[in-house]
Amino acid sequence: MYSKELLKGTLTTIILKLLSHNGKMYGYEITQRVKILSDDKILIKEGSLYPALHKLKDDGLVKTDEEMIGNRVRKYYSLTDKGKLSTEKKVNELHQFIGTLQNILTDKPSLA
Amino acid sequence: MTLSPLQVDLIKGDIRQNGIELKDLQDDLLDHICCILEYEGNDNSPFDEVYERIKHQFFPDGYREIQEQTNYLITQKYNTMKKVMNVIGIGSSAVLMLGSIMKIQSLPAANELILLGAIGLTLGYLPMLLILTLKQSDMLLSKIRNVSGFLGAESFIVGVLFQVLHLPGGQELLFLGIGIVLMIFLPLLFKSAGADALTKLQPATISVLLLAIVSTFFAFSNKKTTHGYRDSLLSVNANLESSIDSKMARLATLRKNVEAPNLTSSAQEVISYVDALKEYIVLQVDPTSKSKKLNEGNVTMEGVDLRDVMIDNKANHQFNGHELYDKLVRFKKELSTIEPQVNSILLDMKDKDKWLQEKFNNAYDTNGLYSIYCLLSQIQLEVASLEIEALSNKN
Repeated sequence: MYSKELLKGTLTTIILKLLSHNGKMYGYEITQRVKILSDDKILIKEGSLYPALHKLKDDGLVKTDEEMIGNRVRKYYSLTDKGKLSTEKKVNELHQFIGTLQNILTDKPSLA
Repeated sequence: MTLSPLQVDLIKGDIRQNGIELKDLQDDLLDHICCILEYEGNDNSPFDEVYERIKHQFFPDGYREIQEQTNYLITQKYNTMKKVMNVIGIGSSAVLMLGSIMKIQSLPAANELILLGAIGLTLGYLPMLLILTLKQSDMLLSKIRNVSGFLGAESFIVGVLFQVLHLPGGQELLFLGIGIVLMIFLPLLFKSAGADALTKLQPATISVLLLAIVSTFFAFSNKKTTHGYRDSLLSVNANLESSIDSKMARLATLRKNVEAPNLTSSAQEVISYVDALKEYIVLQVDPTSKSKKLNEGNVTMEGVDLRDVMIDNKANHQFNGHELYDKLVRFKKELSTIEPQVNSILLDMKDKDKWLQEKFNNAYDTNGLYSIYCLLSQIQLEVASLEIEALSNKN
């Protein structure tokens, strides 16, 4: 399992990417999906997931649809148009970052 | 594990009890924990046990932490506003307190500083604080808590201001403010945040709170001394004026019997001039005064700075210190032609500027006004007494 510090800067991008791939998801589903995709190596803490989701909503990148499950409300999160643009940017940025990191860690100058 | 509606309600209640105040966040967490219980909960154990275990496993820092984190992220974009708010808050409180201290020392511009501080707090800091805190909660009780705190603090500070400026209704506003804070705000604060309510307050908020309380203390103590001082000056003045009345009656008979027209006219000129000046002062502080005498009702001095009028003749008023001084000098000259050896400490007229400074330099606030008023009565009494003495001796 990776450390909290490593995940910190990437959590928002992970959430946005998952939503762009799966359409609409609810909170628990997101944690489970990440767990499966990462072979149990990335576990998103409830304590960071929901603050991040609410921040994204406040910024207008995601929106919610409510559905009643028994006597409780389930909130499905999905991307807004603004969120879709932002996802693309953030995913690209993260890819570049991983590449850069790779260069630094292997100490080989980039050919580009 | 399948959850009954009752169990779902139990969890919902627990989440709200533990300080999650945003409705959306409550729904999210309720659904999340229900999912965990449904998918991962062991059917054989009792519900309470499983719930507590899962709660601690997935929310080791408690629910409240999530609310805090969410608030932090959502209000991040208001960070500049928060900083501005704190600067205004601390600055205004400091100005307010400085003004209160200066007020006690009877220094000039104290009232202006108090006004400035109060405006900063009531129109700057508190409204911004209200806007920020209202964003952090959807619960009706929390909204009531925040609004009551706002209203309580507003009427408290305006009360302090009124009290210091001796405007009517200050005390009522103060009690209203304290009442709202004690009866509504504090109970709700402790209910929502539990025993650690005070530690949840921002350092800036605490400083503002403390400074406001200290200022109130000053406002109260100031009010007390002002009243004591003023009351004693009022009674001194009442004594002086009754003495003047009896001296004037005595003078009226003496003047008929002894002829000293120059002395009498110069003395009467001073006495009449001071009478008119005293009436002018009373009408300046209390235009509605019927008795035209200084009394409890003439509380504040507005719009006129008596010191400037007396010493510098700044406003070019019909009355000023220089004219009074000249009249007194004339009286003394007339007096010395009849009574060369009579001397008066009060009327030691050697240096005009020094005399004016000595008598009128502290005449810029309410207390100064009262003491000037007494001084004027004293001058009248002195002049009347000296004339009586001279006329009696001549007789």
